[in-house]
Amino acid sequence: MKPLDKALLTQELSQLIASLQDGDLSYFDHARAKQRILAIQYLCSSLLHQQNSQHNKNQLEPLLQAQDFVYNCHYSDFCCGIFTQDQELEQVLYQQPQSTWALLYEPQEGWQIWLLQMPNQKLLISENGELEEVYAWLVAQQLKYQCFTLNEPEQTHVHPLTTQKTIPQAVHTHQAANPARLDDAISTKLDATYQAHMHNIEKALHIPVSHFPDLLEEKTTQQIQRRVLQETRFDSGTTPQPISTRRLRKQEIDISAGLSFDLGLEPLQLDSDQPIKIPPLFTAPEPTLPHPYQEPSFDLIDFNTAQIKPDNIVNSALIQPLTHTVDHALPIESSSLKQTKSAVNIFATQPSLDQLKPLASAVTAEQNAESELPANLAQKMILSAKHSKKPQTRPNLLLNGHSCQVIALLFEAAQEKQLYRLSPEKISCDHVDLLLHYTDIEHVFERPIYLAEQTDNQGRFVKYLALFGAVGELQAIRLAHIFSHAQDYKLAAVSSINWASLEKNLFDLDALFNTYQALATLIWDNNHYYPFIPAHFLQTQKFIQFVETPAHVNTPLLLLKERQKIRVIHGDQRLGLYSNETAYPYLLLDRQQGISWQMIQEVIQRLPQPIDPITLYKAICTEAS
Amino acid sequence: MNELEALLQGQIAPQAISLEQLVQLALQYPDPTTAEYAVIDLATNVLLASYLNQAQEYL
Repeated sequence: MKPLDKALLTQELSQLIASLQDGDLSYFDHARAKQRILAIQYLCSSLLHQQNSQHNKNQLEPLLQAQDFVYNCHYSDFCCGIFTQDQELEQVLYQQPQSTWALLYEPQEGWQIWLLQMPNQKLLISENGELEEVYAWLVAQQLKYQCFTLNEPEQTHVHPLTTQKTIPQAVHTHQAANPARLDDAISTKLDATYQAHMHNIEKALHIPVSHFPDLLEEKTTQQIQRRVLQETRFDSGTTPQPISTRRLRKQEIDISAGLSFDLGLEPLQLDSDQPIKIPPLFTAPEPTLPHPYQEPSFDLIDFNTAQIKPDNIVNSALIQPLTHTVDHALPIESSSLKQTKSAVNIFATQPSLDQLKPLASAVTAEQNAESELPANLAQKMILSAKHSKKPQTRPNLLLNGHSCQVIALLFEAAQEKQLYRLSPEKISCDHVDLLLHYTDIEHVFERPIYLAEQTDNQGRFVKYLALFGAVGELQAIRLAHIFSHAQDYKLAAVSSINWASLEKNLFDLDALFNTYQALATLIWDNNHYYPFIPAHFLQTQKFIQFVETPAHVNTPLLLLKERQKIRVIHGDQRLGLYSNETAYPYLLLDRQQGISWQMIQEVIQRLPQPIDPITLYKAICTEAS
Repeated sequence: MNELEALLQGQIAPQAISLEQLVQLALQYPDPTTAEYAVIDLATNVLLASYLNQAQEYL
């Protein structure tokens, strides 16, 4: 059914409901209105039934369901696969010579879409969620950035069963953007039994999409292209980069549940030269308003409290495993399980339906089979993710001479990702959360430290986050999001810095701010990011009075640095928003750039009022250049 | 279109969407290869389901 048909049906339903609510209908009209509602319901009932069956299938066979989903979705041509390991996904994504996207599945967290807007450019990652939710996110990104240019739908697909070529990475799927939709949904509505029958045929054939001729075969020979991380090192002597150059990833959250249940009926291609393709009907759970995020348990357990001994405190350069452990805290060895969590790229490995069936059955059978390792690799993947790990006792860490307890975080995602909070024993550390990804701990300080700016849900700065032990930027971004989300915070940006630069400044807010702004390299930010400056750095009295545009929480202050003071050029509106903010987003100009108050005055006089800070900032920069 | 995006992101309720504008948008973007079409398609799914649930109360 076309969107227009659905929109008209919705409009009609709305009118019927309104007329029934009024209560002034005659008996005849009342009955007729109900009859019409029943007719519309009937029109959708079989589809709703299929929605439920699809939902059940989604629960039991997530990867199969995802394959079908991708097979039929709007941008299937640009999908490069379904993955269960982010490292492999990242590797494949960066081999693509065009805009592409992929699905990442983790049983505990659901689905995620990774979108590479352009080769060597921004990587966008959705929140975890249901397939329909993350797909809605993808559509929203496409709407904003037009990453994919859909060609005219092709009608010349080779029958998949006649094409057995295996393309391990790039996947060309059926052109889902088939415009040959039925004009009239009612007149062309197929019998539900017939649809189910055809669906069974498709399931029996179950054609991996990688069997399709891969028009992008040359990608496999492309030179591996790595992302060019945009380094925007802040220097007070230079102007901050425009925010458009500072974005790497967008994050959309709270995408409505139950979005994509396609009421439409696609025409079946029964031509023997065409792949048999059943369009998705209702492919989502019962549509409801988005349910609130269920915050995971965030209780902290300190397993070290009773065990703090001098020999427990280890230096970062030499960390020995703790020899005494709490008996009940012995975990299932995550590393061995993780090794079995092999990446399963459905498109790449082309498993048959029978090969994948055990994977789905493993979900339901895993509780009975926890004690034994399944032979099937896919089963291993499911099982490994299903095991809940108990927190493990860890030795203390020394950070710049301060002993920090390694405290287990008890929410599931933290245990899954081996995340621990670091808590300094003898020093206050309210301005930064210290987080440790416990892997290869001997080399944790040789890796970059990832600093993030955390905000509350309104966008007000809360505190920094310092993440130790992350292997790579993408993992750091993911882990930071997991931790921040669990605290009901959001991330504004993530930057990397080496330990040598950070070590002496970590426990002092002012020093940390200066280090962060001067030396950290931005690797990710949200789509409205400006760095935050502590409030006590500012001289908030405005020198030049003019009318400002109304501000919102993301509106930056425009500041001028002169000697040892930082004065507000533009920001009365922003400063007046809340009374207790500890830091503000800002744009900074420096008198050393040749900027004077007289110049600012002249620029302000030329601009029409009210003036917004971005315009003023650009105008001053232009004037100074 | 922004309202539809907000709907999909759960920021506004289905009742906040003007159905007349929705029909106009559906007429305006008939090309299934466009992202706007996809957004409208998703949004109409949400809206139709919502109104169906609402209508159920009167049966």
